[in-house]
Order: sequence, then structure tokens, then C-alpha cells
Amino acid sequence: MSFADGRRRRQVVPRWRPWWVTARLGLADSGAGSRIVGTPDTATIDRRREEWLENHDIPHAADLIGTAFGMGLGERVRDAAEFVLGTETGVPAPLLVLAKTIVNGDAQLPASPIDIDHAGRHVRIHKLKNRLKNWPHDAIACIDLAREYTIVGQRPNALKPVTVALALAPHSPFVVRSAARFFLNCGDAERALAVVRRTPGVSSDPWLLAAEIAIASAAETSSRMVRAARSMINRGHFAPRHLSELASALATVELESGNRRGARKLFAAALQHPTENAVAQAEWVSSEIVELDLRISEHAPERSYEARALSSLGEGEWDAAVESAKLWRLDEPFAARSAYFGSWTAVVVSKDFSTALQFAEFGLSTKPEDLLLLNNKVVALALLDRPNEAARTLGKIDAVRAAEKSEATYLATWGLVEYRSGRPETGRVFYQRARDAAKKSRNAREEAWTMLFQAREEQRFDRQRAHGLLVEARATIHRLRRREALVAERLLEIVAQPD
Amino acid sequence: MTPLMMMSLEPALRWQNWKGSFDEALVFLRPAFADAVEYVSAELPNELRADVTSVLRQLCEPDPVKRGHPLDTRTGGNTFSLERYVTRFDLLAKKAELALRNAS
Repeated sequence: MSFADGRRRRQVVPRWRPWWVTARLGLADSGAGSRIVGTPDTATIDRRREEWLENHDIPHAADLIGTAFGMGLGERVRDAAEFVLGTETGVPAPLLVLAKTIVNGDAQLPASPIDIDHAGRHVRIHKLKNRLKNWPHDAIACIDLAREYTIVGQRPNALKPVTVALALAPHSPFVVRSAARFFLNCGDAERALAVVRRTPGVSSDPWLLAAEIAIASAAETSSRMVRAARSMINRGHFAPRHLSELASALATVELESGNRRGARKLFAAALQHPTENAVAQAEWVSSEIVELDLRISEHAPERSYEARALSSLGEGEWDAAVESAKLWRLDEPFAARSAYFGSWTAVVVSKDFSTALQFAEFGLSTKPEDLLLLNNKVVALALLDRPNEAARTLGKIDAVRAAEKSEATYLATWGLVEYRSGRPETGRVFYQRARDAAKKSRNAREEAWTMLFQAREEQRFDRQRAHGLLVEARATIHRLRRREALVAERLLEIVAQPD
Repeated sequence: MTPLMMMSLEPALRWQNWKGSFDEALVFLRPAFADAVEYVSAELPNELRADVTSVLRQLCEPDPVKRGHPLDTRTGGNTFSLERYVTRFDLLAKKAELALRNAS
């Protein structure tokens, strides 16, 4: 098992949430507009109020409420709304809802993402399909439908609504960013990039610029917009919140080209009024690339689950790391990253192998052929002493691809299954091959983790051998980055104290 | 319809706060309009629902280019004209009267 997601490059690629969540998080406005809004003429409200006072009934209250709310002055007719709510019969449902909105205020975002099971997802799909049958020009419903399909692992079905949405609303940052994320999630970074690049006005929208830069990095190609992005940040025409992801994307580019000072400055700008995505990026950079001394913990926008999961891991708050990963998964159920993180963390910082299995299975429900998730599922099953199921799952892994991507991990996992199947001799052979592969590729991390995992198995068969492996592992751990070393020490501690 | 549509919109997206373009706004006005029509439609008696909902959709369509009677929008006629609706409203009124009479 490898260091989960940590080593995978992270980019500030757009989050893909349902429209209502995006809007409620305040991320639906690009900040690009400059429309001047006039003050409404409130004389009509006064007239309607007089009429309502003369005729104290529901129709007149409805007129007054509708007029005031439509002008954005709902608070001025609270008494009429309370009158409506106090009336027991004959009130039309829409008027009741309107009156409740005035009295109770607008609905807030739930404290945590809603946990929806597979059946619930299909109910949503059904509702969205019905909506689109009646309202085929609703680009937002198209995107929300595509997201549901992606979550239930039906990516081919998501393609049509994404394409329709792009045709209906080619200039909408929400539609374009969501569509780009969809293609990225399908492994088609080039198409994701093309979608962003052909958006009208891409160079004048900070959110689209951020997406272009981040996706270009993910596609391992050069961004065409770096100059435009720098100039936009320097001009300062946008509020810091709208520039947060752009500065973060640019900071990552600077860091990858070796300009630490420039990167630090840009990250500091990104964290002035950050989005949670920018905070997660800064946290990831600090955890995996370089300590930037950014005081990231001071910034905690809503839904900072990924950032919290990473920072908790770095602080040795093991339970909090797993709990944050669970919320992160609910926030982005189609993305594999939270599943990598959760399935790995639960295995190395605790003995909660069932949770690890759950994470891996959740991830596989949307990405059934993902090598790392299959690997993590095998590990969780083996550690749960279900070697037959582990072996069957191991059989689903494409050995050639696995060996190409991470030979040491694949061999070590095979070794683990052998140990748990009661064949320690074969297990040792595989682990030795895994260590050889790690050494050959000069991968100290893989080597350390391989030794720790093997030591855990040897505690059941040969304690002396286990002790030797732990001593060797301890000597290797100091070569890891600080946070990874902390986690490795945690596993070492667990392994050194067997049940 | 305006207050019902606004009810479906987050405060930042309502007309008094939105600073972006109309084309961008139209993307989220469409679902808000759909919600509003469905709210009203659910309140209508069965025998009038389909007709009134159809008229409502045509006359309150948020995109001014598509607003109005389909024949007018297609042929470049005056989309603000209510001429084509006079007979329709007359028929609807008769239907409603008949329904009331049958109910009493």
C-alpha cells in the first residue's frame, strides 16, 4: 500500500458540486460583472400596504408580500407574512413558502454534506430526467444530472447532459467548470482543457482562468493564460475571494518551476479570502512539497474537509483525519482522491480496516477499475482476515498496469495476501521482491512502507523477524518528509504493540 | 412570478445583488422559472392546469427573445401582443365557469 493520495500531484481543479450547494457557498458569481443596480420605487409597496390594511385578507396580503419580496424588500412586510402563517386555511402553498422565507430567512447550507445512498441517487436521477423532459433548456439540471450519473459510476450516460449543457450555456462559468471537471474525472484532461479554452471571455474571468491553469498542469501541458492571470492578479480589479483559486493555481505553477518565493507570495494572496479548494492546495503543498509557513489553519471556509483531513494527519489527530475524509468523500462522491486518502489512512493510523474497506468500495463504485482503489480494497480485506475475497479482488488488478505504475506496491499487496492466506514463506518472497523493486527505483518511501506492512504480518508468525524489520524501517523513516514520517511512526507504534 | 422565482434563487443571485451579465443570469433564471411555474401549476384545478401552465410559460418566459406566443416568436411578430390570447382566455374562463357550475 502506498502513501495514499499524498504523492499524487494536486492541482486546484474546479470542484464539482450540485448547483444549489455551489450557489449557497457563494461560488456562483464570477465577480466579473459591474452592473449598476437602481433603487426600487417603493411607492407601490406603500399602496399595497394601505390596501391590505383596508382589506385584511389573504389575497391583499399576497399582493403586498409579492410586491415587497420581488423588490428585494421582504423584511418590510414581515407583519403580513406572519399574518399569512397565522391563517390556517385557504392559503396557497407558494404563498406559505414565501411567507416562511420572509419570517425565517433564506435556507442555509446544511452543516455537513448530505449522505445519499445508491437508491437516493437514482431517485435524484429520475427527478432530474423529469425536470429535463419538461424543461429541456435547463443547463443546470443537465450538469446536476451528469454529476449524479458520474457518482453512480455511469459516466457514459453523463456525457450527453454535459454536452447539452455546454451547448445551452457555453459562457456559464458553473457549466464550463463542471464540464471540465467531468472530463478530467473521465481521464480526458485534453478535452477538459479544450472546454475551458473555447469559453468566450475565458481570459477575463478569474474562475475560468484558474481552471485553465490548473487543468493545463494536470494535463502536463503549458497554460496559455499565465500572463493574463498574472496581470489580473496584479491589477487587483477583483475581490480577493474571486482571485483565490487563480492565485493558488499560479502559485502551484511557480512552485513546480522552482520559484518558491513567488509561489509563497501567491499562496499568501490566495489565502487572503480563500475558497476551501485554495486552502486544500496550500495544505497539500505544505504537506507534500515544501513548508511555506502560510498559517493555513487560520483560514477555514465552509467545507474545508480535504484541508482538514490533510492538516489533521500532519498534526497526528488520527481520528479527525478519518472523519474529515468521510465528509470530504460526501462533498465530492465521484472523486477518487478522498477514497484513496480514507482507505489508506484508516489502515495505517488505526486498526479500523472496515472503514478502510468502505472508503475503497465507495471509490470503486464510481471508478471500478482504479488500480490504487482495488489495491487498497485488497489490503483492507486481507487485514480483515478475508484472504479469499482479497485474492479474488487482487485477481481483478491488471498486473501489467500495476507493475508499470507501482511495482513495489503491487508486489507487497500480493505478499500481504499470501501471509493472510497462511503462507508466510511465499509472503516473504513477495515482500522481498517489493523491497528490491523499491530499492531499484530508489524509492525510500515505498521501501519504508513495505517493511512496516511486512513487520505487521511477521508479528503473527516470527516476532524476531518482525523486530528486525521495524529496526530497519525506523532507520528509513527519517528519510521521509515530516508529515509522512509522522504517519509512518504511527504505524510503527501500532505494529510494535501487537494485540 | 418574480417573487416566486426569487424564492428559488440564492440572495447573491437575485436582481438587486447580481452584477454579472443577463446571459449568465439566464442560466440560473431558467430553473428558478421552472420552479415558479411548477409551484403555480400545482395550485391550479386539474381541468385548467395544462392550458394555464402553457400560457404562463409563454407569457413569463425569462428570455425576452423567446417570450410570447410561439407563432409570434417564430414569425417575428409582436411578442408583447396579447391578441392571440384573447380567445384562449375566453375559453379558459368558460371552462372555469363550467367547472364551478358542475361543482355547485
